Amino acid sequence: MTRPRAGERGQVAVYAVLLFPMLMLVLALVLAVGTLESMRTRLRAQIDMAALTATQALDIASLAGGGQPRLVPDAAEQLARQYLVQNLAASSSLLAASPTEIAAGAQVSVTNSPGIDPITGAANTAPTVSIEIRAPVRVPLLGLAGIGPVVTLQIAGSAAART
Amino acid sequence: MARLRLGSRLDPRRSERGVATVEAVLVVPLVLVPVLLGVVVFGQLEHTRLVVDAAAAAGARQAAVVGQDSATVRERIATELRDGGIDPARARVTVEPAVADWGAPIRVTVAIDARASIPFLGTWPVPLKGEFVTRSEVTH
Repeated sequence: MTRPRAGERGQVAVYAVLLFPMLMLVLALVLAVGTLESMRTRLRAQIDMAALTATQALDIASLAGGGQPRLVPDAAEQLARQYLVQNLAASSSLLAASPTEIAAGAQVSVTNSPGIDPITGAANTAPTVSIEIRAPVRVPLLGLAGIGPVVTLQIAGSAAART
Repeated sequence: MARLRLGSRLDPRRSERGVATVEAVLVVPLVLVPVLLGVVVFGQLEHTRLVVDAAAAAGARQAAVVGQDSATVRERIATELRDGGIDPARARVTVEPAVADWGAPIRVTVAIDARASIPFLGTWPVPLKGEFVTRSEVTH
């Protein structure tokens, strides 16, 4: 009478020991990858904002003389780094390095002549500021930022000055 | 008769009958469903975060162009939020300083008190904030 049911014995253990931790692992992975990707999007937007702000470093004299817009390379690079720090500050809780360190280590390229951009590889047709950062991101596991791994994201962005 | 029935009830093999069914009935609603709902709710929160960020970025651009806190900045942010399916009335927008001269930094913040609500488990407040700093392009 009990024999046909014997196959059900131990299923409790299968659920408890295998299924539950696996589900938790899947959940942790979903949250970690989701957070990382959303962090990439946010950092990208912050880089874009810094690059866009840096394109304000136009050569006013040249522009006033009726010339094409031209960037002042040193001023543009300085603006790019300055506004990178300012914008990255909004992400600092999930960054394993300070915004100042990340901005100091960023690659900034200011090009006035048309050509292939050294950072983004795109064909520039207007004066362009390109930025590439390497940002160590703390990935929270199940909502706990302290125990997760640190993943370094390499992200680039650029902005062009057009009239 | 009574002794026999009692004996069979205490038989360990007999007492485990149907346990897998009971277990499944408990595990599916109590573990699987909340985990799935949790993933869905997380996705919704991330969506909200992206929309709030995009609205703050668009607002910051507008603020740089007009160099101050103005109706155009707030309208730009409200449009972005509406396009992302968020009621602009829920968002707190700050533009500081209220007036920025050429070359001065201007910071735009869009904050929303989102909620993570998983049925039968509870509701948690999740404050979301998008913040961008740019540089005023006008002289007042």
